[in-house]
Amino acid sequence: MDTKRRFFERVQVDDRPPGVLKHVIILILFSSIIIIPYAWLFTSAMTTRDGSFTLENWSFLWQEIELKRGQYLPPAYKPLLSSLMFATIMAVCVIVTAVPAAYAFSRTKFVGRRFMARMLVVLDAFPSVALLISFIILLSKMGLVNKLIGVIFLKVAMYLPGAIWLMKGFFDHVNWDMEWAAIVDGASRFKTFYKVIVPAAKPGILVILVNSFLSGWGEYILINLFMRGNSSTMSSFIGAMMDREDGRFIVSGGVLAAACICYIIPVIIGFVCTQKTLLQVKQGGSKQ
Amino acid sequence: MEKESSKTKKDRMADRRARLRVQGFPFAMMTPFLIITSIFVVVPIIIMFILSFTDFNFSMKGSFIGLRNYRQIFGYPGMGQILLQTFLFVGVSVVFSVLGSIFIVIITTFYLDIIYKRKKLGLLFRVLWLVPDLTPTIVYMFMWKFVFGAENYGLINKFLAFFGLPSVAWFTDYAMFLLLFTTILKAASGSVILFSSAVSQIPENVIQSAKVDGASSLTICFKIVLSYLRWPIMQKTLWTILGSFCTYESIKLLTDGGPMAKTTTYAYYIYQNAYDFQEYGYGAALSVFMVIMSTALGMLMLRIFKIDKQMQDPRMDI
Repeated sequence: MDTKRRFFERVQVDDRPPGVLKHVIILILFSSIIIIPYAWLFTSAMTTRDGSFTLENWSFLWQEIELKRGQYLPPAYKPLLSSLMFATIMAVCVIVTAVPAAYAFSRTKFVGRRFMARMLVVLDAFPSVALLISFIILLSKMGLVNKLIGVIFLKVAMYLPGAIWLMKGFFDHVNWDMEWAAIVDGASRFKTFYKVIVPAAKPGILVILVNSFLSGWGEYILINLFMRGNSSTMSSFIGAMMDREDGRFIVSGGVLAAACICYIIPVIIGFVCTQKTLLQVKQGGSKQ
Repeated sequence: MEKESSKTKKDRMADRRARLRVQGFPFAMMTPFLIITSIFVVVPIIIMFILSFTDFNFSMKGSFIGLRNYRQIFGYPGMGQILLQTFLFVGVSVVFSVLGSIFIVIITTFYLDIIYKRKKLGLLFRVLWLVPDLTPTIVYMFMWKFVFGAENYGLINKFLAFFGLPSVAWFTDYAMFLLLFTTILKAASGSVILFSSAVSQIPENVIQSAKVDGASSLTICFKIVLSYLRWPIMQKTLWTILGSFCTYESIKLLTDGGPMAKTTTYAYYIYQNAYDFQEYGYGAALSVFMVIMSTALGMLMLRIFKIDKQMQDPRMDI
C-alpha cells in the first residue's frame, strides 16, 4: 500500500523539464575522448592479438614474466602489495603530522603565526622538480637511497604544506563552543584536540587520507629515480614492462593493458566508496 | 600594581610555567611537521643554492666554480627553444584545460542538475570526468601511447587503415600536440570537483528569480554561473600555470622530451640534468630560477586570495 502510494506520488511529482537529450548527446560526444581510450585499454586486456576473448593476459598476477636476457619480473601481487604499503604509510604519516599542525594553525596563538601561514602557501607552490638534485644528494648522504622509506619522506614533505592548509580550513569550521565546554570541564588543550575536535573534523581527515593515499599509489617518477630494482612498486613494475626493444614493446600489449587495469581498479573502487563524503566535504572545504 | 607586587616568588614561577605551556603547546603540535619540513625541504633548498656554484656531478665530487653554471645557462644555444616550448606548453594547457573544465561543469552541474534536475545523470558524467585525474600518470600516458601508437597496435592508426588512409606518425610529427592534448584532459579533469561544488552552491532562488524575469538558461549561465565561478577559476588558473610549468613526469613517460628536444620544457630539462646527464651543479643552477618563479607565484597567491584574512585570531587565550 505504502510503496504503491509513493510510486504514484513520484510519477506525479516528476516536473523535470523536457529537452535534456540535446545536452546528454553533446556530453556523450565530448566524453567519448576519454571513454574510448579506457574502453580500448579494457578490451585489449581481454583479447588476444587476433581479437578473440582470453584471460591469458592476466597470468602475470601469479607468474613471472621474462623480459630480456634472463631478466625476470616477479608475479604482480608482490609489487601490488608494496604499492599498497607505500601509499598507506605515506597517508598515515601525512595524517599524523598534518592534523596536529593544522590544529595549531587554526586554534592557537603563537609567535610567527602569520609568517608561517604565508610560508605554508609558498611551500605548497614549491615544485618537487626543483629539489630533485638536492634530494639525490641528501638521500645518498643519509644512506636512504634504494629504500622506499626515503621516497616516502620526500613525498610526505612535499605533500604536507597543502594538506595542513586544507585541514586548517576544516578546523576553522568546527564550532568553538564545543572546545570551550571541554576546557571549562577541565580537559587539557591536547585532550580537547583529540577527544573533541578530531572527531568533529573527521570528514576533512578522510579527504586528506584519500588524497594522500592516491598520491602515493600513483607515484612513479621519484620511485624510478631512487629505487634500483624494477619491481619495487606497481608503477615501476609497469614501467619495467614498458621497456622497448627496436621500438616495439617486449611484453605484449594485452598483458600491459591488463597490468594497467589492475593498477587503476583499486583506485576507482576506493573513490566510488568514499565518493559521497569526498564530494560533500569538498564543497565545504574549498578555499574560497 | 599592588596586586602584582603582592605575588610571591612561587606564584611568579607558576605563572611563567603556565605561559610557557601556552606558548609551547602550538610548537609541540607542529614538531613533526617542522622536523620533516626542515630536513626534506629547507635543507634541500640550501643544498641547491650551494650546489649551483659548484661543478658537482655523478662522481659526487666537485669544487666551487663561481658563476660559471649561470653563465652556461645563458650561453646554452638550445635555451631559447626550451623556453619557447615551455611558454607554449603552459599557456595552451592552462587556457584549454580551464575552458574544458568549465564546459563540462556547466553542462553536468548547471544544465543536468539544476535546470533539468537529472541529478544522477549529472553525477555519472562528473564521476566519469574524474577518472583521468584518478588514473596514475604512468597508466594514463601508456594508454595514450597505445591509442596513438604505430599501425600494428595504435587505435587511431588502425582506424585510419580501416578506411584506407595513410597512417600518421603521431610521436614524431605531432609530439607537442599529443603532450598538450593529454595534459589538458588530465588538468581539466582535476578542476571538475572544485568548479562543480562552486556551481552547486548557487542559491536556488537566484536562478529561480532570474528565470521568472525571463532570462534564458544561456543568459543565466553567462551572467550568474560564471560570476560564481570567478574565484575557483582564478585559483585553478594559478595552480595549473604552476602545475604545467613543473610538469616532467608526463613528458618523461609520453615523449621523453623528444623528438629532437621538441617537447623538452624547462622542468624536463632540469630532470634530464639530474637523471640522464647527472650534471648536478648545472641542474641546481637551473633549479634556482624555478624556485624563484614558483615563489613569485606563491606570493601572488598570497595577495590574490588574501591569505592573511583567512588567519583569524583564535578566540581563546589559554
